[in-house]
Amino acid sequence: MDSVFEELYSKYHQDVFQFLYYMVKNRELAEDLVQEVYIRVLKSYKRFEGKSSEKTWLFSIARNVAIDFFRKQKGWKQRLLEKFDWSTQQVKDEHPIPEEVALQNEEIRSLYDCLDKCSVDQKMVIVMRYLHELSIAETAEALGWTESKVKTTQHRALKILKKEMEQLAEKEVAICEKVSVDR
Amino acid sequence: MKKSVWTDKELEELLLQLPKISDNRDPRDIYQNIALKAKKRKRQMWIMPSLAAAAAVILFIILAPNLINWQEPSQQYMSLNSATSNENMEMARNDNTAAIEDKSKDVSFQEDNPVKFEADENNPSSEKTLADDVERTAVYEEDLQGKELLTYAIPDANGQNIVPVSVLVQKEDNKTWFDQFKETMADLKEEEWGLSEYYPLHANLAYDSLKKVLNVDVPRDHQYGFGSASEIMFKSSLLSSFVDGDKVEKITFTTENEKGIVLGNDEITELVVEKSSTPAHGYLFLYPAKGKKPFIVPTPDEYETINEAYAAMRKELETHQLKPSLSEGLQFEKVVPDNNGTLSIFLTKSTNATDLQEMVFSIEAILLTAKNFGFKAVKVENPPVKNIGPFDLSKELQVPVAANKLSIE
Repeated sequence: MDSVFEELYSKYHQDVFQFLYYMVKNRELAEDLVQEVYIRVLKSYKRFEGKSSEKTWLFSIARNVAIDFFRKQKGWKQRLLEKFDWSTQQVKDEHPIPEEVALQNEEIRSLYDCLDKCSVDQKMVIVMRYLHELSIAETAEALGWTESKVKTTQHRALKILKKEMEQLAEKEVAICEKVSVDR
Repeated sequence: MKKSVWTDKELEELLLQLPKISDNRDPRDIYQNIALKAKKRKRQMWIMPSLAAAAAVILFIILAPNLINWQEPSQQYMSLNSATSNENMEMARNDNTAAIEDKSKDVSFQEDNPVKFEADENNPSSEKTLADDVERTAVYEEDLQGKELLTYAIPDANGQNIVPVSVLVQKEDNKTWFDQFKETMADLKEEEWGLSEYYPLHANLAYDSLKKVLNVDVPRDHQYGFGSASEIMFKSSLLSSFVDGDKVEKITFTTENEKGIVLGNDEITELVVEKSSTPAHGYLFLYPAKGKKPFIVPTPDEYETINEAYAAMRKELETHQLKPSLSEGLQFEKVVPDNNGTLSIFLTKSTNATDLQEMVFSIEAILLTAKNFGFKAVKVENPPVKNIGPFDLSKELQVPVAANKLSIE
């Protein structure tokens, strides 16, 4: 096995995998994308200058892979059609909830669902900041953004999450009330 | 019960609690997958350009011979054009028979011919080119002295036309015409002439000189019946080999000494060589890939009258790659046959002979067509010049004995 691969694997594999998993929310897809990340990394490893930390460099590649994947998924035709077709915008595809999430309490499960309401950029910031516990500076580096952009994106993401969580709670309250009235 | 109001802090704490998700695969599996994919990619990068290069090479191979061939006729045209001048005409004339030489002094080109020459009198080098270039293609009576004339009909390179080729060999006393015909068959240089390799035939030939019957005995696995194209080629090459001359009147076929031969869909036992003069073929030019001299080739169709034949000779036959044998500059006012077997052709006043060599070939095509229609001689009236190459237009022109004289030496 390649020594570079071995080193990267032992240090960062789970991080990269988790990041990609939270981006696409599908285990097989995430596995494929991790491999794609490695291929790109091994190709350009010699050019890695050490300007940034290895970790953020790897994350920036993972980010590009994820973005490329989303782009590929939607051809321009589909994207155009979607703009006009309002009904499809409401429909989100149902990804199976992984075991790890299913075991958690109800709040975490709904938070996991609400993540989908964020944009790709917002999701990336949330995952990097809270799951991988990267600092603002590290996140900015990995995404190639300014720190202030990271901050505002994070702020907006939290706001959306908050709103979605509240809406979800209200809905459930309404259902509960309905059920109790019916009784 | 769920909270309906969240503070940032609470939410952040909840986010931190999101479960870690890990990849349970063996790193070795992953590495293998990666190595495989990376290799595949490399191969793809290498495959596309090499495929494109291979395609380009194949295209080049296919196109290159055509490109070369296209250039040749135009070069020939150029050299002939520059060679055509008054001086050259004179030169060519001197080159020919003594009889013409006597007259040459009182023939003034400038005065009595309307021909427009692209004169370049200051170009002495062109004289030689022309003297060498002006040549006849057919076999004439005077060529026959002491020689045996052998005619072979050979398919052209594309198998579309049957080219009658005449070969003159020295007569040998102890050999019959047929012996020499069979021997020479093996010496033909079809490919060198730009035709397709056809002779010797994969068959045993036997000839009965009294009955004038040629028997063709083919092996059981002969190739001549494969498809209608090779069948037609086989039949017409045999027929047109003997249509001139009176040596063969009937061709019979056997397969390993049993009567009959299977060609395409049917079995034939004999062919009769028809020698009637109408309907008859005209002649068109076929320029081979190599060489400047055209073959003078019978038209695929036969015509009832000689006028129809001459009209057909002005049209290009693209499907057969046949070029017109009569140019726009050579127009007939009328064509008058007489009872003695002489055909008189009256040219229009506007007759224009810019390309001497081409004129010679055209005259040969006219003569050969006249021969097909049973004429012995042709008289050209109102000629623009008195001599065109070796032809003295003030006299009757004897029709040639056979077309397309080629040497096997």
